[in-house]
Amino acid sequence: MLENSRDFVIFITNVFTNIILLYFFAANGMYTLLMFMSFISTWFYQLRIGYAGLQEVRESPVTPPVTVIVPAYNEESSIIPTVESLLKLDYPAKEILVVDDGSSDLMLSRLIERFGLVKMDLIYRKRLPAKAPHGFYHNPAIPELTVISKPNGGKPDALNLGINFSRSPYFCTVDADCILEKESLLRLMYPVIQSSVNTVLSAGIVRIVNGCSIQEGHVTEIRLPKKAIERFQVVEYLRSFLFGRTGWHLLGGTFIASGAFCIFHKETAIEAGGFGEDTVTEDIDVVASMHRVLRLKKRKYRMSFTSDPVCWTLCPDKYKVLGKQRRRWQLGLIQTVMKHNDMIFNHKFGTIGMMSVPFQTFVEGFGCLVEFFGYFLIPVSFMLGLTPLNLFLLFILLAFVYGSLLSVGSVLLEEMTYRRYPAMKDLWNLLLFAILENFGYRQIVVFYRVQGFFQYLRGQKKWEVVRHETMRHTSPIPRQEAGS
Amino acid sequence: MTFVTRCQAAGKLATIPTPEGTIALIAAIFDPHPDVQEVCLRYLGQLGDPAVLPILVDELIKVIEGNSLQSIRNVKTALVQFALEDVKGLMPALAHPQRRVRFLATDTIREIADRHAAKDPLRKNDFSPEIYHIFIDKLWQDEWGDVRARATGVIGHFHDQAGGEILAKLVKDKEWFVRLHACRALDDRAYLSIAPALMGCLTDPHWLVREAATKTLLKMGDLGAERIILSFIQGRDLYSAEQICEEMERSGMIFGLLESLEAPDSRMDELSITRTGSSSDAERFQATGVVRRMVTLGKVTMLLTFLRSPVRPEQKLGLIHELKARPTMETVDALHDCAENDPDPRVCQAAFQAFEESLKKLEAQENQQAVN
Repeated sequence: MLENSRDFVIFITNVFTNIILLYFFAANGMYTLLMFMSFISTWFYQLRIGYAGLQEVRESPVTPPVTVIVPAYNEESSIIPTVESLLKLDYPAKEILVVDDGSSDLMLSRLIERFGLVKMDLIYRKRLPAKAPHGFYHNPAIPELTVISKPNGGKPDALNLGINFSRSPYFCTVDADCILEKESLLRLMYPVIQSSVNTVLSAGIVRIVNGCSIQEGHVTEIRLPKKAIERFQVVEYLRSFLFGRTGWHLLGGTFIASGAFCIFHKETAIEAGGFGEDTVTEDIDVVASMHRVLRLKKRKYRMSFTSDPVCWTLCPDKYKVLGKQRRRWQLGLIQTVMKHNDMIFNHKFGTIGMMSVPFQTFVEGFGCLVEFFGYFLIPVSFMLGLTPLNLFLLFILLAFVYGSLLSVGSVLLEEMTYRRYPAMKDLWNLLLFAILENFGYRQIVVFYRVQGFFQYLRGQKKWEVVRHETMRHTSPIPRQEAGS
Repeated sequence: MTFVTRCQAAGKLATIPTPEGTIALIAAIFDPHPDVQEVCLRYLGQLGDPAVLPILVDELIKVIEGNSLQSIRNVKTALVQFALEDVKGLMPALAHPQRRVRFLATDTIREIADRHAAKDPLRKNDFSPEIYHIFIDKLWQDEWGDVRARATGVIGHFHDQAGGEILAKLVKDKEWFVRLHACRALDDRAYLSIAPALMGCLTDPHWLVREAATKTLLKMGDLGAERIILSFIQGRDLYSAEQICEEMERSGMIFGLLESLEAPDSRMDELSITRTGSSSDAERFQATGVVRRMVTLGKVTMLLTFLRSPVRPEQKLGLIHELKARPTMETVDALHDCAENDPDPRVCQAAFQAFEESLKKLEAQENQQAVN
């Protein structure tokens, strides 16, 4: 009897061990494929940008106008440098809309004071559902900037209102705590303008601004942050954007685009129903809805990712805040893939249906459970003598060593192409943290993701508010008078 | 040799132009790699050699007829970089029976003209006689709306009577986008004589046309602005009034108008007053009329901000007089603030009286609603 029970336990343990190892094989295999694609893509991009016609786009009178929409809620500490950086963007025809989503802090007053805004009665035409605005603020001396205040309704509501008010064929979503590089909008629009196929989405890379110096809306000195938690995230962002998204772009399977910095074709976004409120990651959801609409209508389209136009953002500097952020991302991802689960292995949706959505569902969405239990189950079963040594070593290799190699690869790709961190010390630190990331930090993030998964099971709809540290300024900001 | 090397070689050929280099670039537009095609076409455009233009026009026609695999956008990118004096080379495309060819050629000339006009305003003599005549005689009445729309942009640069007359007709075109482009093409003081035709567009059913007409009139200088103001004060169309109000606010014109506002005067109560008095009287009339119309439309946000700001007491008295005519809760609050906090006793008193009158009116309205 005892012998039978032991066999049963060994059998179950082996099944779980195999599932866990299969998961690590599948995930790492896909990441490796994406890594190679990204190396090729980034390498060629670097070569091609040398002869790209950015100057023609900048000078052309027919470069399409873009509306930059900044949904903002209680961002009094970061909104001014963000708007400063947007006003300085090198783009021939831009409109900047800051949508104050019913903030309870002094954000609106600060904007009014800094930019000399006057409350006006402007015309609002509703196309997507959104709470009605209760004030428009504008300064004729800064014609490209308009601030709209509305009752609190959440980020998707604010974005939809911005779309309704925008006047351009394209809009760019930018988070209120982000700083855009001067040429970033031009570079982000470049694939849209150059493409002969309707490019309905163009996404750029988001990098971490913690540790950098900001002057008058510009990042003037790029340095690594001091805290380990922030450095881990620098590596994580490099891996996610330089590997993940570049690779998916090359495969034609862009499914995730960061709403922190992304250009959308307005009419397509409206056709897809705009930003929905039924998920907490409205940016992923709208991309999925756009794929759905365009695929079902059999229209030719393209979604582009460029690793060059940079948006700088603040990352959490405390584990508590990081936990809130990662739970929300996980919750949102699972909500989105479950909402669009008819796309999974559906050939009608092409690469999106056959590769992207299944990968996001089974590896990024549910994979956290496998990984989390793997960290406990395999070592315990090995210690109990239920898992053989070779399987245990394979697990260590896949979970820790290979993960470190991928992270180191992303840092090397960064160093070989963009070289944003000029100090040698920073590069060594990045490499060190790329290795260390897999020993502790990754497991903590997996834990937050599992919590996010359980939030989904509990039917949670609202997201936890994430408050970041204030950006570091190095100069005072003068006030601009209306009519000056 | 990789396509990147070929692209870089093309760049070098374009840096120091030679006839042999141009010939090599022309040959390379048929390279199998699209990047090389794109780059060579762009450089050929940048070199702007008039001898190359017919080859590119021919290529454009072939692409549209389906006889070439080049990208239309690449060919057009090259064409738009040629000089204005060379555009007569586009004549075969402008007179082509295929409408898409005509459209792209027209749009190319519009882009070239816009680029030149950004540096120096153009006149009809800047265009060759052939180009001038094909636009004046044919393209503005093309069967395809898109061609007519793009033609307006070029005709607008002629700045002559014939061009003005054509644009005056096109602002009444059956297609809204032709009217829109025609309104935008008139965006110059030289077309002030067309302003009456443009005024008709202020009540256009499409809001983009209304907006373009308002913006164009505002850019026509003082006389254009005066027409806008008169239309705002006297016009019946609600949508047109809202559009004008928005443009006056956005452009900051309203700040200047409010400067002319004075304490109430019985003459200002008659909107039939004409511009027979002094220019300051006319400005006062305009300011009062605009404020009155804004109050009627319920567009009082800026007026209330103005009332709370440190301006001359006479301006505030004029404003209070107009605001009490159509009270809202927002107005009542502002009048109350003014009555309590304004440093001028005359303003405080007038605001208090207006506050009491407004309150009574609001109560009466509420009672009336309750009865109904």
